[in-house]
Parts: sequence; C-alpha cells; structure tokens
Amino acid sequence: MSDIKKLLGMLLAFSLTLCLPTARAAEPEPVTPFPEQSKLPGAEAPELREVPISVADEEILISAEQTRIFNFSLDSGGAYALQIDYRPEKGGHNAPEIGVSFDSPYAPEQDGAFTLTRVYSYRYEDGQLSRDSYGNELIPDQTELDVWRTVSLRPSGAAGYTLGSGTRRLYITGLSGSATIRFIRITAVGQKTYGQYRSEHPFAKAPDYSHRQEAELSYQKSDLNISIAYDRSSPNISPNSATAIRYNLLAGSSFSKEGQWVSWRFDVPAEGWYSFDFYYRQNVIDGMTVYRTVKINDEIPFDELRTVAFPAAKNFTVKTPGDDSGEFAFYLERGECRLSLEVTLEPVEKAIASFKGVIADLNRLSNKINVIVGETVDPLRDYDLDQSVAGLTDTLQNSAGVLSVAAGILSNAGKSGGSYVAQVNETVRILNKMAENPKDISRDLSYFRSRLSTLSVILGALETSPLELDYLVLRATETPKEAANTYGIWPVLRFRLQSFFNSFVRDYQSLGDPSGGDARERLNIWVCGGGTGFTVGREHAQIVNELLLNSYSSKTGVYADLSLVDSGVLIQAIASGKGPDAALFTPKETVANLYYRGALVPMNGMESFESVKSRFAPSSLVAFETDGKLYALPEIQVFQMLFYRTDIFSEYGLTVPDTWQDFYRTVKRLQIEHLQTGIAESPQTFEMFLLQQGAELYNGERSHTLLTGQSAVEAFTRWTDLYKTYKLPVSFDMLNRFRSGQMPLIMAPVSFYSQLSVAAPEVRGLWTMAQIPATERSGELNRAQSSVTTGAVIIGSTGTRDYGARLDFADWWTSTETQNRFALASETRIGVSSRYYPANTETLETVFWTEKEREVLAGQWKSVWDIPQTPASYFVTRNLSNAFRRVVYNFESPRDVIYRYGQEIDGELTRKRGELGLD
Amino acid sequence: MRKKSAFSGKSGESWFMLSFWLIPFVLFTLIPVGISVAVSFTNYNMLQPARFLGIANYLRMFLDDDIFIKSLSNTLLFALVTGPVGYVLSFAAAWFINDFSKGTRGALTFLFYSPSMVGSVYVIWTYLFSNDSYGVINSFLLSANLLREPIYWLTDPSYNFYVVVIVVLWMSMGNGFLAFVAGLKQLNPVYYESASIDGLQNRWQELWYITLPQMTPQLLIGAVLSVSSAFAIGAQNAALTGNPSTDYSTHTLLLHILDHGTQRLEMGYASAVAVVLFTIMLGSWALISRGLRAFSGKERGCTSCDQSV
Amino acid sequence: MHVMRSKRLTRSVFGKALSLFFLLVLGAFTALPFYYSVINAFKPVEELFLFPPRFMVYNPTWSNFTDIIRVQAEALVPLERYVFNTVFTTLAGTVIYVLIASMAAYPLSKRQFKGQKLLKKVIVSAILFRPEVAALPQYILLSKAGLIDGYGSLILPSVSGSFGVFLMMQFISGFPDEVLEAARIDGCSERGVFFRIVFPSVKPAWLTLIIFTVISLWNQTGAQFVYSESLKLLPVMVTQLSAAGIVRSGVTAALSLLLMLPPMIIFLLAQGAIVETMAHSGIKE
Repeated sequence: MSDIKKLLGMLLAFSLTLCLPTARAAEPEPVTPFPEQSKLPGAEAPELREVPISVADEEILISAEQTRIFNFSLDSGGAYALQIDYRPEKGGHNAPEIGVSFDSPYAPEQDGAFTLTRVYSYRYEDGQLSRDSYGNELIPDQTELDVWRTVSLRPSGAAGYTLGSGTRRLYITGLSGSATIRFIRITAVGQKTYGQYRSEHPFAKAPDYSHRQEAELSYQKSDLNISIAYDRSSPNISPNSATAIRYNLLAGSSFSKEGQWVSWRFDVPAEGWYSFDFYYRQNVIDGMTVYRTVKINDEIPFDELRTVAFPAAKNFTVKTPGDDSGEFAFYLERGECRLSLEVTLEPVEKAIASFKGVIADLNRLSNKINVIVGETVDPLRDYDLDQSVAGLTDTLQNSAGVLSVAAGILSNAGKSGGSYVAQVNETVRILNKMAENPKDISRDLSYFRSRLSTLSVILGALETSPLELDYLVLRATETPKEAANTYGIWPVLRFRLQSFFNSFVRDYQSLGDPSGGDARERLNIWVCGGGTGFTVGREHAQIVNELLLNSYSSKTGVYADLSLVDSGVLIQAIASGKGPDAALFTPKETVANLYYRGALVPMNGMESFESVKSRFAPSSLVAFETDGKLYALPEIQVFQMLFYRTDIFSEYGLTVPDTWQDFYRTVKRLQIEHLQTGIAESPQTFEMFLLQQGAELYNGERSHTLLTGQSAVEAFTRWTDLYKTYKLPVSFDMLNRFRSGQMPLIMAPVSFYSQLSVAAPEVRGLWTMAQIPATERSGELNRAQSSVTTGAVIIGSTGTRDYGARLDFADWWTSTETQNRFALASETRIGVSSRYYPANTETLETVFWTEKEREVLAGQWKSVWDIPQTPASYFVTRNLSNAFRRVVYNFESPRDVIYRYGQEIDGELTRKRGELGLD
Repeated sequence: MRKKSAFSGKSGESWFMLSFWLIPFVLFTLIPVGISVAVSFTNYNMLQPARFLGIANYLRMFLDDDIFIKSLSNTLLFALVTGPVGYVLSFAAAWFINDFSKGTRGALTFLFYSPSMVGSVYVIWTYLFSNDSYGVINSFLLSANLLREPIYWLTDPSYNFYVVVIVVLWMSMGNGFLAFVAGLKQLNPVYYESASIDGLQNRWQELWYITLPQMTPQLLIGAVLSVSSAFAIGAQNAALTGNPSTDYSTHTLLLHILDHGTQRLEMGYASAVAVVLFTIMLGSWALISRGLRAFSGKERGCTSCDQSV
Repeated sequence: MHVMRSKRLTRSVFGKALSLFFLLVLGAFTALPFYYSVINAFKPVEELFLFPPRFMVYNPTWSNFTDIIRVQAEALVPLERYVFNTVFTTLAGTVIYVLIASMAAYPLSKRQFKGQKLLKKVIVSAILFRPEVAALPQYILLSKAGLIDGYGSLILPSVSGSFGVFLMMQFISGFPDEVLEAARIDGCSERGVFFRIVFPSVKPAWLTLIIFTVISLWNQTGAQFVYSESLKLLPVMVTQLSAAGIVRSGVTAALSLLLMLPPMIIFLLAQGAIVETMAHSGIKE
C-alpha cells in the first residue's frame, strides 16, 4: 500500500509541476522623480535643425525597373537622411521595394534597398474584438489602408548618407512593385540627445494619469503577418479568462523581421511629461536581446530611441525606455498621440554582415573540401588539404578573426545571446585549430559542418527579433509604474485549476452557438491529420476552427463541430455510422477508396458548379473524378521541382538543365567533380516520364493498364536507367547531402522548400528552384508530371437527403478568400515549415513566395497533370517499386520486368472491379 | 474435515467473482472475435453491405494467393527462429541476472526491459542498417573497402529478411523476461537445500532439476507470450522494410491481414486469414503447452502446476 | 525458517564477473534506444537532423522542455487536461483490470465449477487472437454502446483482455490449498478468502501485471476511439504537435522523453516491491 501512496504522490507532484508556471511577481521599479529643473548639464545650445531641402514635390510613380533621377544642391556637407512620402500601389500583398543611391545609378550589390511598407489595420468592433456566443473572442479581419506614409531612409550602420556640398544627384530605382511618391526631402541628420530634447520643451507636470493600452488592439501595422495570439496559461497576461478564449498578445514570432512596425493610439488628457512602459516577453530565442525603434507621432524624438533594448525575458516583464541616468520622459500635447515600435537590427548589423560573410566563405571552403574528400571520408588518409584547397588556412584564419570581432559586438550589445557568444568563440577555436593542423581537418569534418550549421542558426536568430507584447501603459511620469505579474502563485494556480475544470464542461468542438437556437444546421467536420508534404496538425485545425466561426457560421447560421482525426480512421468511422458530414485534407487515395464504394456525395450537384470548378488547376481534379462526377474539391497540390545550389553551379559554370538531355550532361559533369545528383526513388518519377511522353497509365474506361505497351516500357526504362546507367544514388538523405553541397542538384517535391528553410539555414540564399527537365519530341517540350493532392469531401450516399448545406460549406471552404486566409494564417503562425501549396490557382499569389519563385512555380504548374485513381491504385504503386528494385538491384531486363508486374496489376484491377461491381 | 465439494453453494460465488471480468471479456473480446469469424465468410469491405461467400475466401487463400503462401512460410520461419531462441535468451538473461545483488539486478532488469517501455525502438535499427551509404554499417563497410556500393539492407529482398530476423530476435528479449525474473524470486529455498544434501553437483543440474520444474507457471506465461508475439510479427517488419516489403520478402501473416483489411479494404478476406493464423497459433500452443507440462510433470516434483491449461 | 542461501550453489567469482560483463554489454545494447531518446530531447533543432544521427549532443539545451510550456500555452485545451486524461485512463484501467482479473483467476484456479475447463481453454485461446482484426467489430460494438468518444472506449478494451487472467491464474494456482481450507473452516466467505489471504500473497503476480497494464495503457493513442480534443491522450497530443513540422521536433523529442518516464517509474517501484516481497514470502510448507 505504501508503494501506491508513493506512486500517487509522485504522480501528483509531476502533474502539479506541469501546472505551475514560474510566476514571479516582479517588484515595481523605483520611479525616478522628475527633477524640477528643466535644464540638464550639457544641454546648452540646442542645434537648430536645418530646414529640409526639397528634392521633389509632385506625385511621381515609381515602378519596377524604372529609374528616376533628381538633382538638388547642398550648401554644406554632412550627414543627411532621405525623407520620402509615399503610397504603395493598390493590389497585391508585397510591399514595393526601391533602390536608392547618390551620384551614381543604383547597383544591386550596393546596400541601398528599402521596403516601402504598406499600412494595414485590424477592423475592430468599437475598439474591441468581437465574440461568439460562447464568449470566445474572434480574430478580426484586416484591411489595407490607403494612406500616405513618410519614412526617413538612411544606410545601414550609419546615421545618414555622407554627402558633400554642391550639386548632387539622387537615383531612385524601382526594384519590385510600384509606389507613388508625393515628396522627397533631404534632411540633415542632427544628433539630438535626450538631454537636448528635454531642454527644448517646457516643464509641465502632467496630472496623475495611467492608461493601459492592450497590445493586441493596435492602430496600424506594416504587414498582414503581424498577428495577435492568446496565451491561456496565466491570469497575469491581460486580459485572460479560464473559460473562454481571449486574444491577449501581439504575437512575438510574427513581429520579428526588420522593417516591421506596429503603432498604437493614445489619448493624452493634458499637456505634460509622460512615460511609456512596455509589458513584454521575449522567450522565443534564448538569451537574445531584441531592439526596437520608438517613434512618437511618426518621428523619432531623440537618438537614444533609435535602438531601445528589450532583453530576453522568459516571463512577462516591464521595460521603460531609459538610460543609465534614468528613465526617459516624453513631452506630449493634449489630444491624440501615436506610438510605434519598429524592428531594428542596428546594434547587431555589423555582426550580421560578418556572419553572412563568414558563412559564405566557409560554405565555399566546405564545397571544395567535399570535392576532394568525396562521399566517405577515409580517416586514415592524408588528403593534403592545405595544398589542394587554395587559400585554406587563410580563409580559416580570416574567418576566425572576423568571428571574434562579431562575438565582441554581440557581447557588447547588451547581454545579447550569452550562449551564442560562447558558441561563436568555440567555432573560432575550431577554425584556428583547423588552420594550424590541416591534416586533422578530414577527421573533424563532421564537427566542422555542424559548427557551420550552428553559425547559420545564430545568424537566423540575430536576424529574427521577436517581441511579444501584452500591453503598453501611458502614464504621467510622476505616476508610479505598475508591476508586471501582479498575481502570485496561488491565484495562478487557481486560474489553472479553473481552466482545467472548464475543459470538462466546455465543448471545444462546437463552434459558436451551443444551443442550436438560431443554427440552421450543425455539421460534423473532420480535419484529416498527418499527410505528406504539408502535414496537418492541431494548429491547422484551430485555424480552420477560427475561419469557420469568423467568416462562415455567423453569416450562414450553419455551425460546425470540428475534430482533428487521423485519415485512417475515416473509413472505420463511416463503416460504423460514426462518420463525419465532411472531411478536409483527405488524401487522394482515401478519396478514391471512398467514392468507388459509394460513400461520397458528388460535387456536381453544387450550385454554380462550373464556376467553382474553375477555381482549381485542372490537374488537381484528375484524381477526384470518375464517371463524369467530381467527388472532392482539391485543397493542396504538391508537385516536384528541381532544387539546385546556385553557388556550386556558378563555380563550375553550370546552368540548370532544361531538357533530359541537358540533365544527363549535367549529371555526368557533376560526377567528374565527385558531386552527385539526386532523385528519390519513387513511382512518381515513372509517372512523370510516362506523362512526358504523352501517354496514359490506364485505358479510357480504366479497366486495365497500358503498362505492357511501348510507352510504358520506354518510361520505365528511362526511370531505371537513371540509377543503372547514370548511377544516381538510390538511397540517400536528401536534406543533408544537399545542404553539405555533395549533391547540388536534386528533384524533390516543392514542399522540400519548407524543410530546407528550417533545417538547413546555413545555405539560405545559396539555392533556388527550377522547373523539372522536359522531354523533347519533335521540337516540343513536355514538362508534365503527376502530383499529390488532398481534397474536401462530403460523406453520404446520393439520393437520400438534401446535401445543400454541406455542398455550400465545401464551396466556401475552397473559395479563394478562405483558402487565402488559411494559407496566410498557416504560415504566419507556424512558420515557413507550414507553407501552403494550394490547388486554388489564385491562392498561389498570396503565398509568400518571391516574384521569381512564384514565376517558376506557376510555370511548372501549367505542365502538371495527374494519374487517375482506380480501385487498384495502391497495387500499382507497390508493384512499380518492386519492378524498379528488380531491375536496379538484380539487373533484370526492364522490358520483361514491367511486363510481368504490369500483368499482375491488371489481374488485381480486374478482380477489384469485379468485387465492386464496376464491370 | 470437510471435503472439498465441487458444487456447493460456492459455485454461485465463483461465477459472481468471475462475472466482473467475464462480461467485458465476452462483450469486447469474444463477440468481436466471433463477428470476425463470421465476416470471414463474406466479402465485407466496410462501406457496403456484405455478401455471403461461403468458404470462397479460404479457397482463394490456399489456392490462388501466392502472397499468402509466402507470408505463411515467412511467419513460420520467423516464429521458429525467434520464438524458441528469444524465449531461451529471455530466460537465460533472467537466470544470469538473478545471481546478483539487489542493486545490480534492478539495474540490469531495467536495461533489458527498457526496449519494451520505450516507444519507437526500431528507429535505431533503421540507422544501423540504413540503405544510405552513410548508414552505420554501410559506411563502415565502404570505408573498409569491403564494399564498392552501399547494400540496400532494408529494401533488397536478398538481405532484408536477415536484418528483420536479427531485429526481431533482439526485440523478443522482453517476452516473458519479467515473468521469469519474478518467478526466479519466488523459488522455494527448501528444495535447494535438500538437493545439495542429495549431492547436486553443478549449476546446470540445479537448473534442470530444481529451478525449472518450480517455474512451470512462469514458463507457461513466457511461452504464451512468445507464441503470441512470434506468430504475430509484423509491426517491426513494416517499420523496417516498408509495408509491403519489396516483393513481400518479409511479409508475414499479420501484415497480410492488415494489408487486406486496411489497404485493400477486403475485410472479409482479412478475417479469413486471421482465422487461419489463429488456428496455427492454437495448434502450436497446444503442442508447446503439452510439451512443457510433460517436461515438468508430476514425476519431477512440480507441485504448482496447473495441469488443465 | 531461515533462508539458507549459503547452501545454494553459487557461481565462482570469475564466472560472475564474466557474466556481469556480458550482461552489461548486452544490456547497454538493448538500452541504446532509450539512451538515444534521452539525448535527442536535449538536442537543439539543427542537431536533430544530422545524418548519420549523432549519439552525442554538441550543444545540449533545456529549451526543448521550456518550449513545451510555450507551445501548450497557445492550445485550446490546457496541457493539464491531456495529462489528466492519460493518468486517469491508465490508473482506472490498471486498477480495474488487476482487480477483476485476479477475482476471475481465483475461482478458475482454485475452485471447481461447471464449464471451468472450457472457460480456461477459451481464455488461453483469446490471448492468441490478434486484436488487429477484431478491431473493427470491437469499434462497432463500442459505438453501439455509445462509448465512442468517451473514457469508456479508452478503458474497456484493455480490461477485457485475458492475458491478465492467465497470468494471475498461474501464480494463484501455486498457493497452497491447505491454507485456503483452514480459512474456510474458520468461516471465511470465498470473497474474504480471496481478498484477505490469496490476493496479498501473490503480490509479485499482480505487481507484474500492473507493469504490463500500465505500459500498454499509458502508451495507447486511442486515436481510433476518441475524436474530441479534450479527451485525447498524451501520445496523440505529441503526434499532433509534431505534425506542425520540423520546427516542433525538439519539443516532440522532449515530450516523448517525458512520456517514457512514468511507466519506467512504475516499473522500478513495482520491481522493488516484487523483490522485497519475495524475501519475506509467506508461502511456506
């Protein structure tokens, strides 16, 4: 019995420790009393700012590839900033980019590119978030505001452009998108310290005042990605509720890229001196201090506000901008006041540039070493690397030096990333050691690569500057500051317990109306979890949840119960009558299994079916159609692309192959340099060759395959030849070989992009995608391939009831607007690893590809097709693999093998068709 | 003294005590099994109504299904190799561990049983035997110049069978291990005393004549676990060599059942194969249990054997 | 009566050392996956994807664990609920199963009644029938009983297996009948005999059964039975979390490690208790 008591005790302790977040009530910081005198030492002789010099004063449109030249003259030399008032061209999500340079045309390598951000805002209801009938808050819609915005541009790392007196020329080149510019001014950059600022304004004590502004209720922001989130773990985050969802944060991970800004609006009761407090958290990147530029009414009042530091904090804490002598106070006039925070990387800019340079150099070095060492490192062999690789020791020592300096910058920039500094120093040590003993390099190669990888992670961390805000406070300087985390451990515990008990009472599935009072109908919807390429998890289900509630239920009166379930359970559930009304993200094989057994409702009965159908790429519909009826509406479509290392290709003077002949040539050329090409073993490759020959897998009625025909034999031979004749590796780890440079050319699903971006940050910018090689027949290029799709299905058997409401739901779900929203939410909340690959042709525009990437994708998409599904499709896949292995492992003749396996497939297909009564 | 009466009013009480378990058992184990057997005579595909087929499924299985024959032979092979061997290894491990003091014993037991407690154990094996030339074994062989090209351990039919055998052997260590450890603990020291007085000479004799007979119940437990898992090998194979494996080289009856049930959606046929598998297991069990009981029969002084199981 | 252990033949010291060596090597090998799981939980994300996988952590970090809190804070259903679900089903399932299996094993091995032989045969056979095939009928039955999407469907299938009964039967059958008789003469009811005398004496048996049951219940996903988010179990929560992609693999590794611990703790406690009991066994001639 005592054992059981012990056990229970341990279990209880374990669960409790999970429940208790470390809630420390922060002590309120002492208020620095506002000194009576208005003059501070050293504040004499405030410099008058020169009147800005106007360069242009009329509306000018600047579009991509256009350059405008402006002449102006300066009386005296000095540091100047460029002030532009602009408005982006309507349409599209990407902010226009311009390149700026003085006295010579803008060149891309220069540092002079600026993003002219758009302005967005949330549409609040009376300044608050709207709620559903459960009391849950809903994320509001966002709109772009058509407003003029003024920005002050300066080169990175400097306070302003250094310009001499006399006549000067300004070149502005459009890089992407277009914007209208209303005026351009050159302003002298004066140094204005806090002291000078203080002495400029009268002393006026503001009345006792303290106002809390929730961060999630922002005024304006620079892009759609900046989003709000909820944290339900503690009552210290305001506002919060144990029983309903309250959006209480400005999501840190969404407010993290250079150039992003958010603003809030305050009402100042009376003129006087005020302070701002920020209640924030930075727990995304360990130990990293992040920086923001603070602007009041679109101006930076004094220089110290250019880089306000927010040290890393695992729990919410308060930051009041200030310096060693005390907190800053701001002089505000009565009326509206706008405060904005903008992400800035200024304190670590130099470190970032160093990292980029070092990583590029080391990558190049690594490539060269790879070429010499080859696939497997022989630990006993002396590769004489210092002789064979030019500049090996120099590069290593250089890099070590640069990194040391960078580490210094990091540790000086205010407690910035303690553990990162240690890792950089360790890398410096390794580099020096490698420079001293080149003979040992081959042995330590994997360690070297892992340090390289760590460096890029640090670089990524430096460039990501997340700041999570709970609320801001505007208070009169003399009013005492609130402490963060005012709730102690017992209230927090009580809150958690409440939340826990509430989970028994609340129905998380039901969205909106609980009683069904005004609900026209309740749908039971399943989201199929898992998947390949784009894996659907709980966060995605929550997004669907919100979308349903925000944009569907309230408008149509149709409410839904949403569950996240594994797609394998779908059939079982339907079999026992517990299936859903609709299922989302169903893999195409499951869809086929269902419709061949009469379990799905065809979409043809939908209103405006033809226009719905036209949303999708025709290739995405192939797998869902049979007998003239469409049984699912496509959501995701993933197809293959070529990925290649631009650095390695340019080093060897290679261009990305266009046709298969080019491809073979490239493969051979790479092999000469001991580099490899990779195409993962997959029947999709066979399908690609088949389609590129203009052939089909099945005959018209899908009653037997055409595998015994000439086209199939040819396609099969081409497939196996890749591995037999051209010696492509059969089994390999694509990610690691591509990132290490050993395999600079691969064919992979487009979703590999997400994987690479997250797991191989050190090669960022060194690779890109291209269309797959085409088969050339009598002068025509065929770039076809098959694809992997998922679809939304309606479960039921036709003819027994009215499926109108459900079909309507499917229509809404796959509509461009909803899919756009889903794609946006998916990537902004989870990251690039959850990038969406839509089947809806318009949604591709909204996914965060760059222009070039989108072009390449859209181009390939046009050629994509698909293989229809039959009851024996699973058998085709497995027999193709078996056939492949027979040829590649055992060197049997492709013709004989495919003939044999093809016949087997036909036999199975006939049997299945008989079983299902299709003949 | 009152005789042990077979049918006193206590019979009702026996059934009463039984019922708590018996009812769920009948409802959620027996009846589903019964339904499966019934389904095996139909062509049920889960989504459409079933049609009675008589013994067509069984006929097809034995006469028209090459894959079934292959999986049958694979299963028997696996079972033969890993069943007895795993069983003996488990016992040997438990026996050796028993010699040590409490602390060491506890630690070793933990080590040996840990695979059963950890979830995805085969992951390690996929790294060891990876097809990739960087896989542990491949890279070793390649760098030692014993190989020119990597061997596709997991997908080449000539090799993957053996790989699976090794892995399954390793995994079968958990079967019955705990039961043996517990059993070895409860041995009655009296017998050892009298045996040493009678002139027992070495450990092997001790094991054979004293230890084992007393452990018949645990041996039976271990055996039933062994049989149950040996014939039901499948999950590991699928995780290692794919489902289905190349040319069905490591296909087993269980995988054949799952394939037809979940991939091909032929529930009726899958149930039929399951019935066949079940029959084989029952048959093996009958043989084994008879053998064990004979081994530790009454002549050997087994006082704790339940003869009727 | 003293335990005359010294009379039992023991190995030579050399033999013991040799066997210890082999056992340790073999044990280390079998424990390799566990070790791998442990170090994975401390690897930062970029190290998790190195191939061949490293058996060493270069930059160990606690952040995977602290990230659990962060990631779960954004969830609709609080983490505590998942923990509760898993603990509850495991606890309830284990307690129920051990009780009813032992209660069933007692009359089967110590009493005689009609149909006993047949029932015993059925019990053993049922162990051998693979649950995978009976899964669908079982599912249908559960759904007809209205238990799907409720705690019942997570607990009932596990308590209807027959292995536990079989295990208990083997141990109980070794219990000396004379003691039972004596108790009955003293006027004890069958239930009393069982609960007060037999059950406490076969402690190693039901402790072992506890281990088996806890391990299987704790690790069950219940994915096919439960759809409501607030009823889901920890293993499913981990799977759903990892579906968000590579970003979450660190958290997944940390959670997987934490999930492994309770069964191991139970194992250690139970093992200790098994040994302890046997040293003071009440079964004497």
